[in-house]
Amino acid sequence: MSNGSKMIALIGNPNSGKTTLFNCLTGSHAYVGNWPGVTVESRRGVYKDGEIECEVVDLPGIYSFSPYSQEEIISRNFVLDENPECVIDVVDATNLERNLYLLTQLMEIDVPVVIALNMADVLEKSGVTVNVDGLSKELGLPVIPVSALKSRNIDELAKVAFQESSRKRKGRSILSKKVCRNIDEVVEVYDKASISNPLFHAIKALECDEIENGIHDKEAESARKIAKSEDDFIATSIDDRYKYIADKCMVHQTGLKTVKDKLTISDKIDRVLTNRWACFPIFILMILAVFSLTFSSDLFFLNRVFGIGNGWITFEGTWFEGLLWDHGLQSPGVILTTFVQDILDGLSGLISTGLESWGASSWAVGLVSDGMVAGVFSVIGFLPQILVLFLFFSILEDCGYMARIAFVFDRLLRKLGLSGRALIPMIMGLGCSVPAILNTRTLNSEKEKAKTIRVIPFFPCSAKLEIISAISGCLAEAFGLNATIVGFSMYLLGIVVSIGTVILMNLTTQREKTPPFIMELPNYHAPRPASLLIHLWDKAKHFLEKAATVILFSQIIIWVLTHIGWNMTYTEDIGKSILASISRAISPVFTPIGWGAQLGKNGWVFTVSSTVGMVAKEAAVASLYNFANAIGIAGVDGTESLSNLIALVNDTGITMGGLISLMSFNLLTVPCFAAVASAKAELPKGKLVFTILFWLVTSYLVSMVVYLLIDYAWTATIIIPLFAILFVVAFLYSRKMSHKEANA
Amino acid sequence: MKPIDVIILIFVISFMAGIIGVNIYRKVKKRPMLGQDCGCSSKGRALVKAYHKEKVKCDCRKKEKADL
Repeated sequence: MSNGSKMIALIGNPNSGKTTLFNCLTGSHAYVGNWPGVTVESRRGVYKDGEIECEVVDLPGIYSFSPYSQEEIISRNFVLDENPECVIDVVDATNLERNLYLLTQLMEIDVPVVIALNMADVLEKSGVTVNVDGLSKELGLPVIPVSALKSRNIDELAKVAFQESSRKRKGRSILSKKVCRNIDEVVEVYDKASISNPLFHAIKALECDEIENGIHDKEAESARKIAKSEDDFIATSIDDRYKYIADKCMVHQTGLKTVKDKLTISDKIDRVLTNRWACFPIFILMILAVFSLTFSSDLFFLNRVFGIGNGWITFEGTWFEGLLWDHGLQSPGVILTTFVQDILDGLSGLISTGLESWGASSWAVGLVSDGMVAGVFSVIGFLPQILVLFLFFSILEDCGYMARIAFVFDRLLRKLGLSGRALIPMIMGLGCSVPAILNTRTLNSEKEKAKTIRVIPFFPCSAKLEIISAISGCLAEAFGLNATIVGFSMYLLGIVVSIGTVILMNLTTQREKTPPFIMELPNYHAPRPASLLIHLWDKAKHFLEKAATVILFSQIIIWVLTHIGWNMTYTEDIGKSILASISRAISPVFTPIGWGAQLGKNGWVFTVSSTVGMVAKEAAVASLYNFANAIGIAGVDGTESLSNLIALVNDTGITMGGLISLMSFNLLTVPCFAAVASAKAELPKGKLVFTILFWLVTSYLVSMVVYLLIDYAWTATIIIPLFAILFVVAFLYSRKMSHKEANA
Repeated sequence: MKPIDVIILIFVISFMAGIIGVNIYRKVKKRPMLGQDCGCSSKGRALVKAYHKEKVKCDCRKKEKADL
């Protein structure tokens, strides 16, 4: 706790609005999502209003104090061990009955509790009212109706919580004497052992709670002896809690029947979006639309299919030509990227001519313009496209559609050995692998967690989007492929590889019965512009910070290593540099995947960029631009970024298969240092090395298949049977192991 | 070397030293390194480690009980 101020913890069911309330109280911009399980670790901030000052802690959502997953354990341990002065239980007023279950357990802990009745305004709109005073009197706790979304009554809540934090409160149980006969004697066992929150621990012991048995095994044993508790204590206690909620608390809610009787708007939308037959086509169409809006030079194929722009409606010769129109209607992502890249190209040219006019030596001009500016600007140039893609994903997420995807895909994923819950971290992986890996804490099974962590990097993150944009641009210019289709195919490849590897893991090392999947579907609501903007700003800020620090640092090192020979003198010819000779020695390893020793004089640059990409993916593209400039094969005016890359592709003689294989390798291999560090923290000890090897081997094998199938189509007759044999062997192994386990 | 070359060299060296210095400082303070702080705090990592320890303990007890 900082500066001796009071600590107030926010607890509640998942998706009840804790983080929105936390942002309101502290003025923070913590990530808020419209699905359960967004917060996976505690987050701290300070609330200040006049003389009131306290530390506010936002905890991951939990349904009860009998935790199953990591982030639930984090919440339970925080309330029990960190001794907050007050706990605010954020209760979703629209789901009062279920939300009060957690409260009945929280009341057993010796801590002042304040109930924040969130979304009370939404409830009122639907004709339901809650008698706040009656509920407060029944529970013996202050109840404050608030709207975290509209920042209503927040100061009142903070004031009450601050006042309550000065009081002492003894835990009380709402369980009837029938369920818990001699609870006082059981509590005494814990009192004698000087264990804090004795009532809570005593009840948990009677429930045969695994964690309780682990930490207070002796006391738990004697508690059960004294109480003569039966095995079904937990079942009867759950019944008793819900009975109390129904009989004593729900009577304070009126007008409920009218809501149950009619379908809500969310229900009506769900009838279409989660329809058994329509859900998959709708999902694919939505994702295709998002990709078209981000990457396409012919938006929604309007020109190709309907002839708009070139046929019956033409833009040629109008103001739109050039800016919005270039052989097709440009997507917002392409328009913004072209605009920003034009500015950056101009700036880059200005810097190099400026340095030359000031009389800087050729090495100094090269270091600044080729080493620093070209690398960093090439990364920043893709920022608009990344933000556009993020904006659309955030809209889908904020309105509640992404949570439905998990539900829709559960049936399919279950057949592969994963639950629908695992899809949420995978979707998060489209933004960044690091929070996605952290989100696997919400998964109940260790094996499911390991499988999910291993496949998350196969879903291209925003940094990998740069590689897709740059290389698909090259493929479009140099080989006449459609950039949108190439980009979409890479995402599809990620999904296919994930499915294949999950099946293999499920048949071999990670065999288990798929855990059940229960998820509460949030209501649909219109995306909030402020929340979207904050989300995008955070993304842009993080991206620019990374470009100006880690990427710039790596580009300077690469420039130095490509301009110093073994005799430690400066060389203009990067083919004679230290890095070139080391890379040439390694490059035969990549020959089977199309960009190794078979390439021309400068083919080693792909080896370097892919290796650097394992540190940070943005560095892979930055170094390619860096090399294109250093080799002196830059575009017509020496500054145009994409033409530099195309010149590099032509100079090295890399084939179409080789180039797609390069992209596949970079998308599927070790993601980046940050993601590896997160995986290390989340995986059990000793599993990280295997996971890194898994990423390396998978990316290598898939890239080899991609290269061979594209450049040597006849190899399909060997590759397809080989894969079939692999899956049959894995299946037979799994069956053999199942028999062995059954016999044992 | 010309004055502009010296200025560029000093700028680049101080930038590199700054990045290394910040990373060492963060390492000492147990904070995520530069470019790694996308949503994961060292506190969160410590909690996960504690969870794994607790889980191992629970599993061992279960096994012992089963053996008995």
